[in-house]
Amino acid sequence: MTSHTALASAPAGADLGAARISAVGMLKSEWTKLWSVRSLWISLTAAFALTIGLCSYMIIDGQMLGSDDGGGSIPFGWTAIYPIGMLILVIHGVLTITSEYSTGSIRTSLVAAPRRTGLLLSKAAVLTAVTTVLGALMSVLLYTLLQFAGTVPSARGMSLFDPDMFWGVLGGTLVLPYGALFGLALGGLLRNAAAAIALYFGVFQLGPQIFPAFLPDGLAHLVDYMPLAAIDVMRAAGLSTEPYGVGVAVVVLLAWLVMLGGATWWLLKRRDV
Amino acid sequence: MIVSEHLTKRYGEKIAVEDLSFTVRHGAVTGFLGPNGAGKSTTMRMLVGLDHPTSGTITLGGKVYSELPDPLRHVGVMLDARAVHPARSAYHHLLSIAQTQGFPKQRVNHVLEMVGLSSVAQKRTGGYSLGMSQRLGIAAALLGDPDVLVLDEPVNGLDPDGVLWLRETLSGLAREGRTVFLSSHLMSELSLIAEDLIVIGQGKLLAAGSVDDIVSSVAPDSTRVVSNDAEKLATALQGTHVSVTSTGRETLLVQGRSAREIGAIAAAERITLYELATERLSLEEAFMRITRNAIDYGINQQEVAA
Repeated sequence: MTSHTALASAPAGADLGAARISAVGMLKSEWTKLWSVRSLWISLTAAFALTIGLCSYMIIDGQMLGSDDGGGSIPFGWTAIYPIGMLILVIHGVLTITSEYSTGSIRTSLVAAPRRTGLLLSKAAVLTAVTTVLGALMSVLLYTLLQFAGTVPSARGMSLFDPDMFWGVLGGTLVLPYGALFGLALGGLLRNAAAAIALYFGVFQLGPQIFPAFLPDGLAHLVDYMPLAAIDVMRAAGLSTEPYGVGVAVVVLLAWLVMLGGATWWLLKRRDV
Repeated sequence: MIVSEHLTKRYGEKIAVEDLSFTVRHGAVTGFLGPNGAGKSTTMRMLVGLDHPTSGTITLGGKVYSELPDPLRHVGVMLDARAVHPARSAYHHLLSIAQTQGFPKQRVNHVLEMVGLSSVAQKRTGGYSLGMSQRLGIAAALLGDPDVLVLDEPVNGLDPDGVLWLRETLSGLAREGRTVFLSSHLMSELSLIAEDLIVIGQGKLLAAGSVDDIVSSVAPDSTRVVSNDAEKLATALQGTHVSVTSTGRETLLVQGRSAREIGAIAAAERITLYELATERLSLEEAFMRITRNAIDYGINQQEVAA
């Protein structure tokens, strides 16, 4: 392309053409950022490696979480482990954006994408795509293992696309990108990894157990509308309709994401960097 | 052309930049000078949309930076050479910037070569020296082959080799007709490269114009004369716009007359001159004089407030 012999005196103007900011370019950039920092791709792969490891052990051993309440008969029972992977993906989501703030590279990113919205959207898109694809592959892999192991009677010979299997696996798998996006929104909101992770564990992970003690009796059921409660409903895929059905759970989850993501976006647009 | 109009930035009670208006000429090297904390970085951050002005505007060719569809093709920015993820390699850092605007990978290799980082391009930037980080910052600024370069304190922390490299690089870029806008708190450094100067202190404009104009506006050249009859010479030198001060029994400091004029007048009056020397204010002294007023003013204000 360009002559490399002519150094600082002859910048390569021709090969830049009509270059401009584009959605595809922003996505490529985020893809590069994700895989070029070791801590980021390690936290990502760790989430899946750990989940696969624990699920495989469970499947081979034939033990199902919560088998005392009949969990052992649930065909997709192994997805009960997925929330552990989700936890790591929350942290990964937090890190993808807070690491930009802590290193100052956010300024480089926003000078390249000064409208800012594109940065948040492309980060969210890449995270969603990567965690959804890896989650789907993981679920297919574990389903195959389950069929080979044959340790769960109710799942024996059941197609992955059998409604009794499919919706549970889908619900469990979607927990993974949800966690990553939730972490991204929290990280963008607080711009500090420690604060965002503390908020997640303090409010969203432990909150449902702590808050009812402080709320008046009439309001205690509000914790049912926190994300983890809705996630449990979604993962159950209709087997449990307490305290509400899957449809409501999906709406609750999306509402949380829109609310937190919207606040993050609004602040990103307005705040100085 | 960079135009700042009544630019103001407040952080709560603190005013970082106040009613700042200036113009940076196209195709010239303009130094942005001020003591630490004068508001230089804040102004540059507002120029590239990182900080939002409280009021006023700062534009590039009439447009606000964040409205440009291809910002890096117009402006190359280095605000903080350390604003890089330390775990990412220089190559991937530059690639992630280049991809946002659709620049080809070859362009990344090209700028790496321009700044002499090709051999360490795959290494994590966390291990880079400050000088290498500055080079990487310059490479990032050059990615889009921009007309305008905005550099915040690019000389800071560089060793003499690095300073020389930077000076040569910037001179080269300026010769290609690019607008270079660089800040520094060192007048002597800017005077080696800048044609124009914008001097600010306490967030306010103190002086703007060519380097020569600014220096002579602060203190006109003065001439030291030592003679056998200072009193008589002082009388003979009087005129409009001329000031004569006596600094010793035989010594005068004259402003408003050149050494040549003084010599001629002395000859006409038959006064013997022992010494006749034009004293030019150094750039650093000129800068100190311009900023001292602003700083004194600021200190007084604080005392009043307390």
